[in-house]
Amino acid sequence: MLADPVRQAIKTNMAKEKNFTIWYKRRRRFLALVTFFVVVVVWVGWISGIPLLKTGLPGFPPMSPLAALAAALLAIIIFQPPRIPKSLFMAMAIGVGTGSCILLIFSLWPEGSMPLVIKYFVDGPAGIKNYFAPLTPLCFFALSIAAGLQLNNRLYRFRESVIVGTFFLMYLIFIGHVSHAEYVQSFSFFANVSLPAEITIFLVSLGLLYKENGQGIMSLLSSDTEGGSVARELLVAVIIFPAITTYFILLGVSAGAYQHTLATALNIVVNVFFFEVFVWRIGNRLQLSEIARIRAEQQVIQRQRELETFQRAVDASTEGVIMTDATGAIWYVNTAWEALTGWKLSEVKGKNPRLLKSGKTSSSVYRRMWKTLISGKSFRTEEIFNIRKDTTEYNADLRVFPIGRTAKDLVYVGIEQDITERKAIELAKTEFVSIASHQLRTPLTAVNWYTEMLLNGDAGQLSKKQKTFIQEVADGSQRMTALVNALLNVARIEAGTFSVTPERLALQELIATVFKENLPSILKRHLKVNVKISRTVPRISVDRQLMYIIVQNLLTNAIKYTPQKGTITIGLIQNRKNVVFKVADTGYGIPKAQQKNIYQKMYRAENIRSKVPDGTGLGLYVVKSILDHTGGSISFVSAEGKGTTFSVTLPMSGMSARQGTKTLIA
Amino acid sequence: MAQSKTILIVEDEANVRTPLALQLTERGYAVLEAENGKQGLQITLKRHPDLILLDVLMPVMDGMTMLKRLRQDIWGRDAKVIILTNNDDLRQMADALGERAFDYLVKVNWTIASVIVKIQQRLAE
Repeated sequence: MLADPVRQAIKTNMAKEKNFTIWYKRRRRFLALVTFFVVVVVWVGWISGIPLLKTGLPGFPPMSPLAALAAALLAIIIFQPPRIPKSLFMAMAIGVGTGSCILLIFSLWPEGSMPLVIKYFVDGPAGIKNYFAPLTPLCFFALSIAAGLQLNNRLYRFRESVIVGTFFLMYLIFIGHVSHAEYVQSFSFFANVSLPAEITIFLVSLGLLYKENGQGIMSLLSSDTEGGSVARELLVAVIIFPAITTYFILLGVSAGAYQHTLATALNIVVNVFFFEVFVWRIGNRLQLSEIARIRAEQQVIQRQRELETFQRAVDASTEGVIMTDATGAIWYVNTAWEALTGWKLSEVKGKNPRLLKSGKTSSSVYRRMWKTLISGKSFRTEEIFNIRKDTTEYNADLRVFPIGRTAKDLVYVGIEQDITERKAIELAKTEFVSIASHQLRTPLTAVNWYTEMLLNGDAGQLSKKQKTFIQEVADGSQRMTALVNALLNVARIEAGTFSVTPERLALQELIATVFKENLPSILKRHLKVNVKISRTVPRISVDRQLMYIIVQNLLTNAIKYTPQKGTITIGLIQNRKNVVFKVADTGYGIPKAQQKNIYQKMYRAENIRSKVPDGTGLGLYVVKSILDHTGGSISFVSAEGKGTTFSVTLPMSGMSARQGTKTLIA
Repeated sequence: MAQSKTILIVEDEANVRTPLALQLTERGYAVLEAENGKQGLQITLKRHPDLILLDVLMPVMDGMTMLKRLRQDIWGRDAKVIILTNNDDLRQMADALGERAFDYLVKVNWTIASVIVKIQQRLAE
């Protein structure tokens, strides 16, 4: 069955298409129907021998039966809706055509030469013209079954055919009873069947048909499918409606209202007309549903094509793609993944991706991954170390997405990339910076020490001017030293090699130490300092060196970027489960547009580049990196020209320890 | 202020070694100089200085190797050593070696005056 939205969309579309073409098609078919009806009337005229009907329309000469047949076929062809299933149409045409032709042949048969058996069917033993009873229902009933079968696309089995036959026979006999036609009641060869016996057999066969539920005609009649509704309408058209009209017409005959011949003709005309109306309705409905089905199929095909395109894209992706079900069993990998791992899909299908585990990946990575995935979020890491089939190792950049809402349809999609080389290059770059920085230190040491000695007067007293110049050299060298140290810290952060060794510290003392060290520059700039340090904040475990770097950087920034006579506020408070360290200033502030870049490496806000030329643009980057690596966080509020407040938040549990080969330089 | 103590500077860079030597000489110390670990080791074993200022990255023999060799010597086992380097990546390695360097100073971050204070502290012990 189609999805409701699709059906809805098609209906809307079709409503829009009610333009002239549709209008014309409808009228065209109506004209064909009228033609067909008139032709049937002509046949009936020939069969019944009523001259008026033979003309088709009053006032015209009689129409030849062959011409009428031709006109009927033409009308049928015009009438045929383009999308009515051909076989249904064929069944209808054969049913109506055969029935009509037989009637036509019988009516033209020379009197006296008709075989006895056929004669019984046509005239009955009493020599009365038939009452429509035997042949027409036979044709139409066969037609309805054919239509129902066609639509349900199912073959009757032999047993069911027998039951249907019995049912039909009983129906005929019933018609015979109704019509008082003796030959039908007894079916010529048999003894007359009593009405109660007939009804009993009728009900038994109906019951048997009903028991065939799921297979047989009763299930077809009661089904919600298109076939079911067609069968129901045809049932009304070919059994119930003819029975009712025959009954009433015969009532008229027995009351002497009209002749048998006229009654038969009238009956056929009325029934064929209503049958046509039913067929028209059914045809229209089938056409609509056929169009809907075709459109839906096209949409499905379109969607299929899109999916194939996606699949091809995923197949051809240069990143390894792997998909598993909720239990972790692999059901898809692309060629890039095969190339990356050396495993073929056929080898890993149904297996768990843990066959890639090298044992070198930190278990905390997997813990974090599952925690994230279970919460329904996607996860990314560069810290996975996997092994290939040939046991070589690679460093993977892995992204995992859980897709699906319920556990049943949950799928994990992993996208994997070999970043071993990239990491090696990154490391080489970092090492280069590290080596270069170390190399710079030796000449810097010489400059530092010689200028120190000169300023000390070790090479004789300097003139005031000489002293000023040498002081400039010393300051420059000090800046260079600071820059080299900062670069080394950056290299260590980026190589991920710095260690975190927490110890229980009183932050108050550490802040005081840093403050004292910076007192000379505070005094030099005539800054006012507010201290709001809570004494009750307990010791927490932090790495002394790293904490020193954080406090030092934030404090020196505040001093550097606050104009003379400004105010600096240093705060330390406990806030629920966190310790918050704050440094506020009334300085230059960070322009709104540049606030998002402030933690970027080597970034300096535009407003302070000219005001404070010395500055590496590395301080906040280092501070943020330290906090990112240790479980803390940093935030700020700033307005240009008004000042900035930085807040560092550390959990009460302190910094998380970290193994590393190097320490950062304070 | 007469000082009879002997200090050996093992340092390959002359422009770092010289100012240090000058300052120490000026303060009355007997200063010995070596350009690499091998020379440093020879002089140490011959002259038994009161304190060794030892650079790490040097040609021929680096400071760590020299320190290791020195600790194998009966006299050298307790010799006073201050590591004076510009490479702080080796601090942990030095610690791990357990060769009991008294201090690990990064030259560029130390003024000459504070280095001398450190030396005086160590010699006074």
